[in-house]
Amino acid sequence: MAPLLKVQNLKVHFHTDEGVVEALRDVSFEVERGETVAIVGESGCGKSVMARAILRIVPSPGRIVEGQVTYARDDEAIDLTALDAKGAAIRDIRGADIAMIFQEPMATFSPVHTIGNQINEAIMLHQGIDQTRATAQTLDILDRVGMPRPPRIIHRYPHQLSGGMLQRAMIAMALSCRPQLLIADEPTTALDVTTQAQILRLLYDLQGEFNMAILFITHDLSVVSQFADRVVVMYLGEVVESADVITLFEEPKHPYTKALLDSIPQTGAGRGQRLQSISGTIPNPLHRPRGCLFHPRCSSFRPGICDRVEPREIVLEADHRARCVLYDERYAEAIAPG
Amino acid sequence: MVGFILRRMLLFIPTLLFISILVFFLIQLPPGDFLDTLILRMQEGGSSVDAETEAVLRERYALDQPFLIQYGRWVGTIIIEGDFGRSFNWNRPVSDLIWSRLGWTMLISIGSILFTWALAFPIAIYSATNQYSFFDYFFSFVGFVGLAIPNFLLALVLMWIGFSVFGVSMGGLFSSEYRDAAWSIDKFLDFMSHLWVPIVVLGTAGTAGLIRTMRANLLDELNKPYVEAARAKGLRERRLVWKYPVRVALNPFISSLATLLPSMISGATIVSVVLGLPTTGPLMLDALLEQDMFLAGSFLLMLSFFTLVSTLISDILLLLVDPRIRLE
Repeated sequence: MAPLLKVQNLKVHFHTDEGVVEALRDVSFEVERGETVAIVGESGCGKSVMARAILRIVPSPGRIVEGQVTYARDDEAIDLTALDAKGAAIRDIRGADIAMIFQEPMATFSPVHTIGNQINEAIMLHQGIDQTRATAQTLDILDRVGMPRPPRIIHRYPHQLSGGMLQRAMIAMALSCRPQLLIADEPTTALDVTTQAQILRLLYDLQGEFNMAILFITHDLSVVSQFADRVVVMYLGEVVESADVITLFEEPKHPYTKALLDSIPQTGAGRGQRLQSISGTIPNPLHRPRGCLFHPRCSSFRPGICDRVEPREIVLEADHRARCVLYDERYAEAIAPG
Repeated sequence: MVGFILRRMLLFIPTLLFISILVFFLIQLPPGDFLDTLILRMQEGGSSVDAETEAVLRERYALDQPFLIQYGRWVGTIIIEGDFGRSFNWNRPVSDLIWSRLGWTMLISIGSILFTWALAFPIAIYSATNQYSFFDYFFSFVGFVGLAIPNFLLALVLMWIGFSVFGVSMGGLFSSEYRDAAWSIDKFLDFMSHLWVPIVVLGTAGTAGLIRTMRANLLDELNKPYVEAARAKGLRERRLVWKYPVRVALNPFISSLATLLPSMISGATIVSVVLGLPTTGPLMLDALLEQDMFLAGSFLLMLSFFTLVSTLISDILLLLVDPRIRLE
């Protein structure tokens, strides 16, 4: 069974006045039907660009330079990168097969249109039905996402709803046409912890109900551990490690992943202990380090290799890959003393 | 909402009263008065006025009374009899003079406003959505040139073109043979052939400013998340631009409508003078120059009233159009 979404060697470049920014350098991963894949990384790692590249809404001056994104609709394999970004084919898929929810619910809705109008729009656009029938569906989906009093809500404007309710409305809007894949770009980052838990619960339930795959983009590892089936860790436009969630948390292989996990603050840890952080800062994307992108901050740095060789992705086990020379047989001897 | 409107309209009365005092005072401020100017002109023309006649005239026009009495009589007459007084210069009731010209002024103004909107909106939207393209730079350039060229200069140039290319005498709204004739198809066509000059001149002035404002507003909105979200829903680019960011970018434009009515009435005075249009602008200019008190004062009062009305209309429109603004 082909994966629902297959991203292969995706490269996205931004041609700015200061130079070319390689937002995505060679990203590959897969999403199976019904599973939740989390994309984790710090700001600037390219995860948001990744999400937008799938739907072909990368803002200019960004462009997909190389690579493929293959979406399996029923039995048909569609190469999304080959479609015209403004054409009818990709517009059919947006909102219907693949939907997206965003980080700031208040900013994602138009302030001068009602909630009902905006949700109806997606339904009417993709199903070609009239407003009355669309409204019936809108009320239904709002009910399913746990919105109190849907008949009232559809006449309200976004500024009249709370953050949590708006996030539910946004989820309703995205799910209104029963997408196969939901891309969630940091949906809980702007919410307080309690609301965050509710929204995650909601997404989990809806996923089961709709048998939907979710591509969950976040920088919050705790959310990942609760929610994801598999995890893809990104750094500066590259995938540095990917594995199922349990393996990633219990046996991380890439030094960056390990550092990330170590930096999670533990409650109950000894007082007076410093928080672990990753030394250094994210490099300017216009001045990338030579060799391995992470080497200036890596605790396992091997001089002579890591600053000269660009590591390739090594398959460690069936589903576990890491991009690091530590696991590359070609350099096994040079690295020897662990 | 109704309460809001009623309250605002009640506030018109003290505002207008205050403005009327100010207006009357300011008109009187330059030394001398209408009679002095008249006498001076008569003297330049050759005839003269002796002191006795002058005193009689002065008393007749009540120009020898103290300021408050004159003001009181003026305002009193307006309120009680609805009579705005008599113009010294034209020797006709003020209302006659103003109303007859108001019609033309409104027509030309509305025409030029529609012209402005029809031209400016599509250009601004194109400019904003195709930022840094050739036409964006082109329209920006034309816009700046339009802002820089004085209206009266443009009026003169167009008049000259109309005359030398089309052989039509371009001043005024009608050619001399049609001016007093009854309305007919020919008169209408002649009217149209004259009308386009003031509409284009006044229209292009407003167009440049509107394009810049609208483009800037729209550029702000185009980068916002809700535009991206609409795209991610699968909407066509053109449809989503019109439905979302354009709609939101209109808000600042609507608040600028507050000065629309008054600017319509004052009617681009200099252009009207150059083109010889029968609008209220030149009338007003003369009245002020001559210190024709009742005419000038009434005119300013009317202008203030229309400003208050159009501010109120603009506020109401904004309330209707932007759901975020509500009376709490």
